[in-house]
Amino acid sequence: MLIFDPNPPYLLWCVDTGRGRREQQCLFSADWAQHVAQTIDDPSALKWVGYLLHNGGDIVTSPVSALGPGNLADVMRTEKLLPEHNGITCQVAEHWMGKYPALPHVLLCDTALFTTLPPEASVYAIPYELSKKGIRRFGGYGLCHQWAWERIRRLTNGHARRVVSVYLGDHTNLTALRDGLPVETTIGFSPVEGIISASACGDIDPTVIFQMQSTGMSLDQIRSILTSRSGITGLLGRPAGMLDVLTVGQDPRMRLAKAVLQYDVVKAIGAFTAVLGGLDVLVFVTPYARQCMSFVTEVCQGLACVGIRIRTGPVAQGASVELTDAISFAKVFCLGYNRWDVLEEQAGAFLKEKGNRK
Amino acid sequence: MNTLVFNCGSSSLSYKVFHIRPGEDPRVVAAGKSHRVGVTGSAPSFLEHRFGEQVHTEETPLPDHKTASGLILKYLQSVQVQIDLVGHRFVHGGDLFHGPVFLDQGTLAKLRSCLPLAPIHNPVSLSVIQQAREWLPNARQYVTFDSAFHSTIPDYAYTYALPREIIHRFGFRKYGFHGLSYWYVSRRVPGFLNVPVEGLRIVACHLGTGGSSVAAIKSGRSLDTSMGYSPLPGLVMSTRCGDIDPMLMLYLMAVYGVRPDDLMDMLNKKSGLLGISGFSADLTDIVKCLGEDGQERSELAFAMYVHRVRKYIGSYVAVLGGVDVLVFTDDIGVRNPLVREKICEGMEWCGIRMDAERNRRVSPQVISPIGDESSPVPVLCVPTDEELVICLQGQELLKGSPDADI
Repeated sequence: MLIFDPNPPYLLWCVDTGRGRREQQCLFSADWAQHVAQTIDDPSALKWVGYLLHNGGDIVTSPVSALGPGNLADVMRTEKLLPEHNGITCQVAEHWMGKYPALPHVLLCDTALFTTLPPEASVYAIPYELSKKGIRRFGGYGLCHQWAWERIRRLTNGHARRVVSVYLGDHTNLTALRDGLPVETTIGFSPVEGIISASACGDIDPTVIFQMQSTGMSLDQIRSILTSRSGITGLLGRPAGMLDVLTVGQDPRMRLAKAVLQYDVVKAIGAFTAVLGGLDVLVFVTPYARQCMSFVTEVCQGLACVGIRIRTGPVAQGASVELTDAISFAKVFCLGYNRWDVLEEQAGAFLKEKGNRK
Repeated sequence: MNTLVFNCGSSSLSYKVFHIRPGEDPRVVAAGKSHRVGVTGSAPSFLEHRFGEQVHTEETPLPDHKTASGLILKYLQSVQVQIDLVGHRFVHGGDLFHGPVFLDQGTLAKLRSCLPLAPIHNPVSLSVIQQAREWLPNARQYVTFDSAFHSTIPDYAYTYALPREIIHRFGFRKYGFHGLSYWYVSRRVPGFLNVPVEGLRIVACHLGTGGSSVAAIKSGRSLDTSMGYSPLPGLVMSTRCGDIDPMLMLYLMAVYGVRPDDLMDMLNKKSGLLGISGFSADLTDIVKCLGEDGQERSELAFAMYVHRVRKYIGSYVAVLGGVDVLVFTDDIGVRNPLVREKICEGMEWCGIRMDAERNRRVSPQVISPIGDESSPVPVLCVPTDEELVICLQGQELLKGSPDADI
């Protein structure tokens, strides 16, 4: 298999031709296709190609779907919603569909889960005509939160109905799920809204943008400030991400970045508990399962008010760890997460089911 | 002694004269309001005064707040009301003011440097201050600030995660507003419940006909609030959008070619309840339409309003590590039972349970408990009176003690 994930200015991909999986990345510049081709030792062993679409808007509403010449044009119409990310996905898909027309091509869409987000959570309080034009909160990381929900259902034998899922990583974000359906999420129209991320600002007063513009900054300059130079990177004054926060030293700037992030997460957990009318499970999903335990424990320590009692003593390591004690009303789990595993699992399940139907 | 209090709205100017005797509640001896200040239109501007039994109304041009305050001061002189102290309200004191201050040359210079922070409200307040100085050169004057109550918010809650040099260059941070109202709530509630201020965790919802916000208050200090650098973010308000994705602004400018000024005008004056419902910025109008055919947009506006308040209550309960009392205040907070009922629905998880009957019987004049007998967390409606708060802050200032009981 071959899976692509746009991460501007980079293109990430994961390839497995039967000799073990390799994760790769390159700058998305003119010669990206050569870079990718060089990493595929045996193209004839590829069984399928997958593409992650970060924002499917109102157009792509299935988490996993087949991509063919007939619907690529539809996918391209999502470009204006998230030009940099979706632009890469579309170009890459067009290229590989042309190169391997006989292979199954699979589109994995990270906003599809949120197609059913209730209007009170998905609509902005702006003139309704703009909402009619398709401006709304699209959410994100749907495939991840969907996967977390299914894991939790198994871990609790189906008892958990009200779940808050926290993706803890360079782009931390939360989703509230009731019976598997999303009722709130921190990501909005774009991935910038919500929690502070590695290089994006998260929630800010929109007046700030107006103020910057009034001093003559261009839209592109402001976009670059909000998406690439803010967040943890902005507060530290140097490029940094989640792993830097989790392995924090005594640096006062790092202390502030970590405190802002933890505070944002606590606020979102409280908000979502209110929306759900109470909490059954809080689940952290993270590629940094080994490093995040003290961060997660600190977040949970103030959450007795939502029914969380963290277990004392050392916590076992593993793919899924329960952090709460036996009498905790709400359970807390931490799940180790590898995006490629999950994308492969979901695309694989889709193709298998499709094969069975035939 | 008598304190004259001026309270500037964007197109109105209210005043009250309080007579204060030690050990007694301040008593209003004169009050009034100038309407339609600086508003051009078909309806005329007018002034009304209440003094003793007299009610005096006067139609007169009111081109600006300076004129209006001049006429008020002239009236008070004509009816021979003595003024010893004058209190003013300043919306935005930025980083420079953390509480009420007496007016002197240094304060005036600092006030001037705060003008750009609230370009509509602050200059108007300053013009009234200057007018009062001319009319009452011997009365002491002081200024109170809507933003000051929130100066105790910790850095991790007021910091926007922008590049350090941008934060520094523009002074971007959360300030918060409705501070006079929260100050009043934080001082009245412990006395009403007969509990110590120390450690008391209040989530207060200031739901006004114009602006609205929520605050997390512990031990009488603000720990967080939903408005920000400006009054735009946070709750769904009458015409303000509240929280939105910052990238949405860039998208609207880039894809639809919306001009920056028009965009700010849209987000401040054409969004919120008005934007969603399409017909009214007034929650009372929207509530009247609920349940009628073809009113889907009113239903949505109401649902979004309630949903956003509930989210902030949940956030602040988590931030405070639990809640000891939930407070509703200002016009909508005190006068709209349906909003309170819907906001409190399904809040048992944090100990909030409303009594439907008590909720319906709230009197807008007095503090009313509306929690169920079995509710672990009291729920209160607390009517505010901004002019009284300004008066009381002046008394504290005179005593030199910011924490005197009221």
